Amino acid sequence: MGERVAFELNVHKNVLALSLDTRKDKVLVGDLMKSLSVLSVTSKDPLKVELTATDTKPAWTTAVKFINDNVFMGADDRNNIFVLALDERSNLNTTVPKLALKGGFHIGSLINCFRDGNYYLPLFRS
Amino acid sequence: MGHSSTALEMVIIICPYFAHEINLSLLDTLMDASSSGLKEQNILIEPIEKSFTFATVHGSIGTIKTISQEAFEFFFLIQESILRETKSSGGLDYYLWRQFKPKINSDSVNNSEDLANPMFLDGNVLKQYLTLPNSTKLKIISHYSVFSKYRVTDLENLINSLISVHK
Repeated sequence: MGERVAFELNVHKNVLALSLDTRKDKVLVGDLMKSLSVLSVTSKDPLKVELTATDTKPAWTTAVKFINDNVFMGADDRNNIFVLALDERSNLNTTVPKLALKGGFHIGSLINCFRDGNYYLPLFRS
Repeated sequence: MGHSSTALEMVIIICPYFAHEINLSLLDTLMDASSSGLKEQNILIEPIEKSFTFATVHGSIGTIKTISQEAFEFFFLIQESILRETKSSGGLDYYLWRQFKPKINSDSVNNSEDLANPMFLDGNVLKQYLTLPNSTKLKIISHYSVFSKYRVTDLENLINSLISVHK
């Protein structure tokens, strides 16, 4: 019959979480209004997830992706992609570290998903 | 609209990994005229992080690759030279079109952070190099001294290896 899925934890930090990505013990959440935020698993038993960083600028985030442990990519409803990073130097006196905008690029079309891996075209098309 | 791509076309965007410490030994290797061409090519196109794919609501599919700061600066100069030698669609400025625009009527035109630290390269612009006339390709090489030891075929191979979507 299989195991039953049980409700474990509720993290109420978002207006509406629209996209997720995971890397090791971190979760990257894209929100309808609150741009990107990073959650970390601080304890496994009992399960505890805490907000470790957030972008304070508003954005309707349509897709998110980890680039590495400290660099994150998001796509928004204005057809952009943007890169945020943890800025350790400016987060010394804050309770929740802020993510700093490192750069952006206007794609011209709304991105609704990021996926690992490359899309390859066959060399010969019929 | 500038150098925009049509639907279904592969758009490859490459952003640099802004490491806190630049690997100076890599830079020395790139500048060393006695290094083998193949070794330089591998260093330039080697990804720093895993690449990934994006899809848009209009059917476009693209790949995002992360390359080293040295490689980014090298290909950025190529992109600059290509944009200088080619005309944009409708006479619209490429960087105005591709600039990060988070809000409608935003003042991101004056976003000095975005302009001062470019971190994206457009694979579609780089790919244009492969279709330009030979005279224009030679002109692009002559723009910067860093290209002086490269031939047209060397740049073509480098660009092709970087943006190739064929296995």
